[in-house]
Amino acid sequence: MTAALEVQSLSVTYGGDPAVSVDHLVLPRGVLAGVVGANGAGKSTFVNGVLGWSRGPARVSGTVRLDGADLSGIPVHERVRRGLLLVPEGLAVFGTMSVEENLKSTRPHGVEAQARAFTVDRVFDLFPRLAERRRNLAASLSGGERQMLAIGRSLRLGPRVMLLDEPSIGLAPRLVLTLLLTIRQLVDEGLTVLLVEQNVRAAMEVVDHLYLLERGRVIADGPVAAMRDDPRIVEAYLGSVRPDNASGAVA
Amino acid sequence: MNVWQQLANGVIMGHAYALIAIGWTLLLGAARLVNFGHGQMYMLGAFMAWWATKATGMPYYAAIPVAVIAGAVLGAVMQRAMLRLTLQQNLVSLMIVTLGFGQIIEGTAGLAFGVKPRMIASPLNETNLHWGPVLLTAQDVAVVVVTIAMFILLRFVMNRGLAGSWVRMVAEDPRLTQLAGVNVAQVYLGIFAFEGAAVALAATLVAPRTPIITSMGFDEVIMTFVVVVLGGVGSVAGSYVAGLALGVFSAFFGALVAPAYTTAAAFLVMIPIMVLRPGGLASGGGPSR
Repeated sequence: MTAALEVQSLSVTYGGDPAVSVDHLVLPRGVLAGVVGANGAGKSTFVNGVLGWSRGPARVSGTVRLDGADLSGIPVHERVRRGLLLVPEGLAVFGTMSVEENLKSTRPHGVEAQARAFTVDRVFDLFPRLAERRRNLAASLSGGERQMLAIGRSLRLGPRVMLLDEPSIGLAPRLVLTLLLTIRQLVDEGLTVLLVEQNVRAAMEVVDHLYLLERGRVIADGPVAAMRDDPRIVEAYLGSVRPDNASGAVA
Repeated sequence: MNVWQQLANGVIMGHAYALIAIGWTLLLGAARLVNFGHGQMYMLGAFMAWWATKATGMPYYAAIPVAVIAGAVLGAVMQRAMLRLTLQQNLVSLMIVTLGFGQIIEGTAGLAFGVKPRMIASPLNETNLHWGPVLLTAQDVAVVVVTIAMFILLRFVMNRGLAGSWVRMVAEDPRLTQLAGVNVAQVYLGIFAFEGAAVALAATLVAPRTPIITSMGFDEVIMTFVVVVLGGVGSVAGSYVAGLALGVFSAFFGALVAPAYTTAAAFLVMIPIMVLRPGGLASGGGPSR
């Protein structure tokens, strides 16, 4: 079976040495994989690079395949239309539009994407909180609500593979797990997700596979059960945090 | 002084200002950039209409779409040339580049059309309408009607249409808009084509009222600037109100004081307003308002 997402020799440069350099990463369909690592390890740069997107002057090289199709030379908006979606870190919503407008103005492109895409009502079913705030400006939403809206907008586009960059940042601990479980539910329904997460402990509750990034390189990866015992994970992320502190910030 | 006549003149002039500015309103609201070649694009639109009627002998009504299409193409070509700067939101460079474009357009027009004043032959201009103490031409009425129609259309498209929401998305965050699968470069191209087409349309309607000359662009860009800034950056309704207010102000200032100082007076009014309400008359207005 073709992998949903395949990344080969991806390197992202901001002028000097590569900030990120990943040799190989394969995500089978319907898998939720986590990308963890310290601050500045290049997690965001990596997922942005998979799409070829950046807010700064990044240069990306390497091969990315979506369901077997090579995306080289294809511009960002066209990659999105084909179903490779990114929910970037931070406020990925249009603050001057209402919740409903944010969802309505984001539409799938093409018949295939249309078949996969969520309707506005389905997004509201998934995140009932958004339905309550449908007339509010997105700028007035809380951090958690904005994340729901950002994810909802992406679902409107009919994703095959979704790249989620720290959706739990700034969320109350109780909400982190709720959000991650919702993502898990989407994956169980067939979506493929690459999830960047600082909260390693919470991520391990939901992901199938884990990639550990350090200085822009994958230094360890494997099924989550195996990674739980990996000394590098235990030492850096699990050992020092008390088990009852699920929200423990890891830096 | 015939107050009613001056009021009518002001209302007509105000609609003319607003119509000339409509493209820039969208440009500033959406692309967050200014086009100091705007006045020269206005001039070119007027001369395209003059040339079309003169050289090919086509009727005035057929010359309008010719000028509008030429304006759209010119806008698109300009944007194509400036795309990289636009995507980087490099505003200072864009300002200078558009000034340069304006100079190129003006110089080329001077070579092509000569420096003599010309008159666009519009049948609407020949039709006088008396309304009580007020004398109007059909051309004046056309300016007012088309301006109102264009503003309603623009507001409707911005608030209801998918294209309008793309423009608003680009206005807020072009990079994030890419992630919605929108071709941002194409949206910018569309905005510029609209700007070029709208200013050419304004020229074909407004310019027949007075003789045209290839150096008239600069005055137009100055008044447009006042309208757009007063109206509140990118505010559609604000521009309409500001254009109208400026027109009425200019008419009465011209009649009571001296027409020669109208532009200076407009700036004198603009400066305190900008100090008191930096966001313009429609403070807090986004591109949708």
